[in-house]
Amino acid sequence: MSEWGGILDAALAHAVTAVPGLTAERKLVALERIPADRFPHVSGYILDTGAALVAGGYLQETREIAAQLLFRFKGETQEATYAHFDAVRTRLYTDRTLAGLVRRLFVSGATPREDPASGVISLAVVVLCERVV
Amino acid sequence: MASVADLDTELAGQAALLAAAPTRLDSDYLDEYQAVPVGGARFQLRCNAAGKDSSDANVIYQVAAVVLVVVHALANPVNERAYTKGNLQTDLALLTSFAFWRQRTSVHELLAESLSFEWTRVGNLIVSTVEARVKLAP
Repeated sequence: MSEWGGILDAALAHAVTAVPGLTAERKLVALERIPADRFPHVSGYILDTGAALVAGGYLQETREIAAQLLFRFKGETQEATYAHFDAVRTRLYTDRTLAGLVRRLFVSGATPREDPASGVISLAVVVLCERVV
Repeated sequence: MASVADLDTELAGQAALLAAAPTRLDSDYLDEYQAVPVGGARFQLRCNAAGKDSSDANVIYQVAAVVLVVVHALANPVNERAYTKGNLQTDLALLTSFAFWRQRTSVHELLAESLSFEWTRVGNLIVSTVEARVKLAP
């Protein structure tokens, strides 16, 4: 598993716990058609694999890693999607180190986008992780 | 008569007594050349002449200052106390004991009032520093 695979797994596990019935996939599912029985759905992938490096003593590096959780909800109100986002963020903030995988994490805000034709609301959430290696 | 170089060599040879049996970094002054493996430890040692002691009318002792830096890389960054309440205390107890210093053939006596220690966390590392002054064996 890559350095970031564990981060994705942990973040997705928290998302699944926070949103009842959520189907999770650890890959970029941006344009694929999602079968009706897989909503609500989240795909997790790495948005940025550590562009920021800060040198520390004894060759330590502080890396900022951005994981993206792309949620898709169908047949739910925007208010309900906000509630899901709140639940995911709250859940992640109960485990800010992802059990020691990262030094700390922050959750971005999320802007919902709604497809009027299908009624799917997508919500892209960035989980910004700081990891010392 | 023991020299500062003798003291340096002898103390470096005692590193196996410390937790994780740290090996010596290439530089005793800089922290930018080598990494410390996760769960492992490294040390830096600086010994230098620090004056004479003439408190004994019969012998004039060479005094040496010792700075020992032990760098421990936490195996689990969110559980630093496993180390700071465990092996770190064992190491400090050893290094601050009179017995440890008296057993060194290059050391006549530890100047107890000179002993100091501190430790700090930098990233995933616990860096502990012990400073002491000793009279070298005549």
